[in-house]
Amino acid sequence: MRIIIKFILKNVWEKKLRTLLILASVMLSSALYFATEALSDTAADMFLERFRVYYGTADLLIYPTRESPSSFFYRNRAEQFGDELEYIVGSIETSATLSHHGETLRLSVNGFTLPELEKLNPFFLTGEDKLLPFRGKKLIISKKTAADYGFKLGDYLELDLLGAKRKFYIAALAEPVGPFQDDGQNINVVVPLDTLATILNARGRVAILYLKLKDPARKGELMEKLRAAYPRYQVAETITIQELKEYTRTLTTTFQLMGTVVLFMAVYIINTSFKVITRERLPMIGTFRSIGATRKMTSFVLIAESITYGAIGGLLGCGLGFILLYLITLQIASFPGATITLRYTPAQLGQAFLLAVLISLVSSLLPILKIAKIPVKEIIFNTISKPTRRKRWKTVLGLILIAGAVFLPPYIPFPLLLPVGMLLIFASIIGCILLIPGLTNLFLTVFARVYRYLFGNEGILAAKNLRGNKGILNNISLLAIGISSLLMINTISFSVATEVTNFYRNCNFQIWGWVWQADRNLEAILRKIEGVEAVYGIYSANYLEITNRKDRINLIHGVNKYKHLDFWELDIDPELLAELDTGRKILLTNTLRERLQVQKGDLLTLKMSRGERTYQIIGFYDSLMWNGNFALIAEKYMKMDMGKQYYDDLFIKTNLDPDLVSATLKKRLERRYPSINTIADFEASDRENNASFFRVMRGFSLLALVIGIFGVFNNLIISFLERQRALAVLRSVGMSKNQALKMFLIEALTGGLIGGIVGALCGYLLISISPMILKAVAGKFPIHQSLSLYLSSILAGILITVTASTSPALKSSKLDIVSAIKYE
Amino acid sequence: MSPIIETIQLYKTFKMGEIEVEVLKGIDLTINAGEFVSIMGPSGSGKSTLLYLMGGLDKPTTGQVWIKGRNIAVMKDKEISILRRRTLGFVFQFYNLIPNLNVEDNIMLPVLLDGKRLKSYRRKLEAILETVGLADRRRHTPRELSGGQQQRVAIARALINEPDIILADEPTGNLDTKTGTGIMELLQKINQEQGKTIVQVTHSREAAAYSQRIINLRDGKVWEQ
Ligand SMILES: Nc1ncnc2c1ncn2[C@@H]1O[C@H](COP(=O)(O)OP(=O)(O)OP(=O)(O)O)[C@@H](O)[C@H]1O
Ligand SMILES: [Mg+2]
Repeated sequence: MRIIIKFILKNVWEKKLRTLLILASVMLSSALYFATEALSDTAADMFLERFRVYYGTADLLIYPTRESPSSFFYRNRAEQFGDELEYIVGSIETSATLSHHGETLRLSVNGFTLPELEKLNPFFLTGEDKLLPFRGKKLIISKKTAADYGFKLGDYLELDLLGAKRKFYIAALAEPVGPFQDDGQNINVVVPLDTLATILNARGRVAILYLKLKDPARKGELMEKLRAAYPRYQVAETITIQELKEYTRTLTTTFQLMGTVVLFMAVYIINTSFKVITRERLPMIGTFRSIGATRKMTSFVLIAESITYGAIGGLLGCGLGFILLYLITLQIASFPGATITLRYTPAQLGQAFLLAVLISLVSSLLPILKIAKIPVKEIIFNTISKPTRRKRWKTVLGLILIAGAVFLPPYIPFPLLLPVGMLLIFASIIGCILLIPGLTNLFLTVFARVYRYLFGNEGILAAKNLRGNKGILNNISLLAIGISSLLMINTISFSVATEVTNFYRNCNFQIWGWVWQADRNLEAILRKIEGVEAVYGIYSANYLEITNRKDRINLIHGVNKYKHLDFWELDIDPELLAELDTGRKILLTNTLRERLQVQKGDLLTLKMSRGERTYQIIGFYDSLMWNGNFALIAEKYMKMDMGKQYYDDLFIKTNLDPDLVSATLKKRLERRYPSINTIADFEASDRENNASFFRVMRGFSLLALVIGIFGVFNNLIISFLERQRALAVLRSVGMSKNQALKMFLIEALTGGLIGGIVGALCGYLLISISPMILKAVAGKFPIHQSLSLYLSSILAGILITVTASTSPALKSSKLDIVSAIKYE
Repeated sequence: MSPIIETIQLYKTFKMGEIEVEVLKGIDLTINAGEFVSIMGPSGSGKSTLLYLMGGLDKPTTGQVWIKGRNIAVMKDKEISILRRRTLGFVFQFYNLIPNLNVEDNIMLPVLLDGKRLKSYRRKLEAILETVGLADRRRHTPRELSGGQQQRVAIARALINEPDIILADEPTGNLDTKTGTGIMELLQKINQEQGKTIVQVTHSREAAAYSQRIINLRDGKVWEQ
């Protein structure tokens, strides 16, 4: 046994490149696994940190809604639960602007008392001047903001606050953490609570209460009591980890997909490497077996080798995982001032390590067992029966798998769609791999014809060499797997992004806003403002439960039949829309129709503010806005059943520059806490969000490409070693160095081209199948194909193989013909 | 008779780390057009090395090789490749066929490399397949052929471009006596009917008997009989 191990160690040392490749594949897979697993917690943590700017450490919030009698309230009713609470912190928050060197700065002005702020969200002052007593027109600002704009302790800032210009004295500077953290949008300043209360004529009252519980487990119970105490105000939880996880789910899902791709490639690379390893070791194994080693012994040693690769790769992978996690977090932490703390559990590390060992073991097991079955005699006399050349069953099975994936989805019942769909995607990937040899031969036949004219006789020769060449086939498979999966992932995320931007195409208005206590009167006022062409206020309800279907509708609009179709691009017959007014009737998107499995005439019972109400479905329409999860009822029933007094959204058409009009509106409505944005603003911010997401995706794709290059390089080196002799023969019958170079280049080009094309084809297939399956999670899902993505995949395939083949090509011109020929 | 291959003061030294092995020590040889020559000598005497130098597969340490009046030592890679595919044909002990190409493709390699159209060589190919007796095996790959058959493919490959010279390194070394005789008769026929110059390296007296002249190599020097 010792001697076998010694031989193997020597062999491993001789084949450093291959060892490296196996380790790299294992390492990357486990690193990605770890990073993905830990990302979810890390990202949630990071966002939680971000939200601390707003909520501090509070568990609950109480604040007025549009239905509240006043935007200010007394804190005494909350104080009666004082013994259950760690703290009650009251605040009034508003915004202000500040002219600074011709630039208008937006400030979040938060009124607190200092002891309360300290409890809610600890801060650290770096300097103060007449801070105490914290009364009157004093403010605290972050050190960073002060440095950015050149403000100093003791300066006066003239704020445009609540309708008048007011001078505030900078009484302290604070570290840019906690309440003074930069959220990338507003500058946060703290002023005395009393000061704001006085200006707003609300002394003794607050606009928001922050509560922290002594026992978080009693949250639900206490919320009920608080709701009873403040019946017309909102009692809400601050953001929970659960919500944040939900929020970061899209991100982590994408990474999981990517990880799966890398896993596939790693398995493939390790598997091919082990095929070569076992073949190389065959004579040695034969010799050992002939002198008495058992089958178990030789297999055991090989398995131990693969486990060792797994273990080393796993350890390295955990290390790389940390780096990766850090880099990804850095990317998604696109807001300034984000603090990055990596969050992971030892279990995640353990799993990543275990995965590494498992991948290595599983991918090498088949080749190891295969050679264990070969009788000793055959090994020694080198009479191992060569595999039959054509495996037609592979093509047939591949076609069956793909056909299944293409034709089955419509027949799968909705609840099973997700699990079965995932299986089908896997099946079609395997189907593609099985089809690769057949497809390759097909392409080679075509190319051989064309190449004669394109590249002359070297072209014919290259095509002949490629046929049945294992190394090339491996390369094409590797490329095809990588390219098709990357195509799928990139296309789907591209589609999501496009869909998000497409949303705004359906808006026939330029400004979207919300204003406190907006009603018909306000509409009339707005209409008189210069530049405002038309105004449409709408009532809406979110997440209404459908009691007779055990499901929810994410959004219902209470529509005005005269205005709705004028403001929104919706494919609905106006007469059908008008019919909504004739009773409790509802129009659903086709996506909802499928999801709820309903038809025209069915009744839906909705749990609304005024109790359960039953609506009759009068029709369906196509729309992908809000993921297709929204419905329309008449304005008057929405008002009635939801007890709405004020509009939830205002849509405004303008014929002037929307930015100007939006600025005017903000100014005119200042006292009503307006939140007004142009559609162009929304689009831009969505684009920005998408951009950082795409950066991560591109990084990932690049990573996969690098492994691809490694794998292809490995295959090319192996096949070069195998072909050395054949190359020497070709040289001996008159092939010049240039001809050899040309042949290699054509081979690489063809391999890359076929890999790219097959990858694109498989990718197309996967992309066509996935929407049927995605329907289960995301509603109807339109796919936006990007031709340039396909073309660049094919180009990437060519680039990878050509790059990877430079080394063997150069080696070929230095080949010593005589020794390559003499050796037998 | 005109000389077709000439070697002048040919020296070849192999360096293996520190040690230098002088294998050929000043070979002066002239081989005339249409001759059938055998090179003999003990194992390790440098026969193969000499043959490869004559075919330009390796470069001499010093000395010159002239083929058809041209010094191949000063030729560029492209010229020497053209020489190999048009003027020389090699036959090796271990056949050295390309395993994934079939018989026809293997034979046509020199034509392919010469940039000629395969179609114009069809009749030629038929004739050569006839000569070597492999007309019914044209679609087989080397793996599916016997050793003697493989060697005949190698000879056919050496003939396809109608070279003036055939260089063979122990063409029968790996074959049984009967098959070896067949190969030698084939070479003799080619020499006599087509007037090709043939230089073969061999250990076998029987094989050498087919040639007109024997060159003996010993300790890197020529001992002509
Ligand atoms: N590439 C090389 N490097 C070092 N020494 C070499 C090399 N090629 C040949 N030799 C040495 O040159 C000598 C002659 O080799 P060569 O192959 O020409 O012998 P040979 O006469 O053909 O022998 P055989 O009858 O066994 O084929 C041998 O001693 C061999 O060890
Ligand atoms: Mg020899």
